[in-house]
Amino acid sequence: MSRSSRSLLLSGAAVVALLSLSLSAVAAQEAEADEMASMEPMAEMEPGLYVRDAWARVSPMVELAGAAYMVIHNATDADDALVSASSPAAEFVELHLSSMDEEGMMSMNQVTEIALPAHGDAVLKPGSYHVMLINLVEPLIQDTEVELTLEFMTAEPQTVSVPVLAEPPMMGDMGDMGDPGDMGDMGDMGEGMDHGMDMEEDEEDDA
Amino acid sequence: MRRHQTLALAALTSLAVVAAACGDSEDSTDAPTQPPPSVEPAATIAPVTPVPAPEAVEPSPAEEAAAGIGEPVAAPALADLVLPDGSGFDLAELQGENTLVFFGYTHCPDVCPQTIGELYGVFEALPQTQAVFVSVDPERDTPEFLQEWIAYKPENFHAVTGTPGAIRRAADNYGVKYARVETTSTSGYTMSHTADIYLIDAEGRYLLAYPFGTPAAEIVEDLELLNAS
Repeated sequence: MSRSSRSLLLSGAAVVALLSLSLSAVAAQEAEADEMASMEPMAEMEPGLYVRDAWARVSPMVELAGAAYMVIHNATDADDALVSASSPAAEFVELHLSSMDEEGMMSMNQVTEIALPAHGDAVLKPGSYHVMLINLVEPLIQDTEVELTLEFMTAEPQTVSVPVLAEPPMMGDMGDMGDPGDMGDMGDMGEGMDHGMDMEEDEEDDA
Repeated sequence: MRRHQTLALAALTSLAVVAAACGDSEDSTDAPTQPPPSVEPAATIAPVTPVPAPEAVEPSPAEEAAAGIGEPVAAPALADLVLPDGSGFDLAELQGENTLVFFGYTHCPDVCPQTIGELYGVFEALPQTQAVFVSVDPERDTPEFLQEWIAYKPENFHAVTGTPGAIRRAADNYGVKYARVETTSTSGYTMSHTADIYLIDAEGRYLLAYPFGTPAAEIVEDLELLNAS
């Protein structure tokens, strides 16, 4: 309870939720995250899935779907996949892919999974893969956050707190990473995610 | 090279290499990283023969665009479309300022907001710039709905809709393709559509198209050149 993602946000970078931190001090974590962000996965990086650069676009009208983006790094030896997501901010959350067809038209299709190749990244970005937030509970307002629980084929679910921004952040300025989901007891987070922002803290305390 | 250009427009061309992929020639050769051509302005422009890319800077599509830019044409009309208040829209009323036109739909969660985001970037640098959003989804984008939607947009952002026929004619004039697509999503059907931004100068001339994903900074550079010329 003592360290929330908000305190990290105060450091200036828009940071994904660091839900299952294993380090004892926030300051140490921040320093390490900055360092990790600029490097390829190294031996000392704990195996797991790392979510970074997460953001959701402002969406002033609840009847229009919102979209969230991020980079998920798979620092394990096995392929995995993002298979679903949920959020207290929206009634439905779906995975979609925008792409350009042979006629130059941008089209959008729902996908059942987004691949996370071993030691590779899944890049969710405008005009490509994204998480769609449908039937918003309330408008997505700039500089607020939405909670998003990501479920994977293999790895334990992770809940990230996603900053709401008007435009894509400058990648690299916000490269902090969350720790792998398997470092905290997040196993139940995927179910019934219709609670408020405090759930991550409660869950963590239970762990 | 093949065609005399004014200094400003030549510079414009070099800045619009990416946009060139949306040039006018049927036989343009696309660079690998560029989306396929999607723009066919109403005016006819003499086809040009692709030439090898000079040095490493400009691929041949830029040359194609240069040919197009060299002969700006009157912007195709956006006829019989209506503003959110139900009044008729007249593109000519925006003459005097550079105008960026794009086609999309309000229920578009990913591509259109990204385009609008880039337009906001242009507005930030050049607040006089006008933008026109043409809906390709008249079923959901009624004037009433656009009225609510536009309330969250700046004053120089205009949104128009119309009958399916009027929208189709406007789209055809700009070489815009779109189609309704049924989906499995709980968000309902989507509209596939080309997502270029069309630049119309202060004299109402269509100059070029920026493909989806063109950063605001590139458009701003072009507009600044135009304003200086």
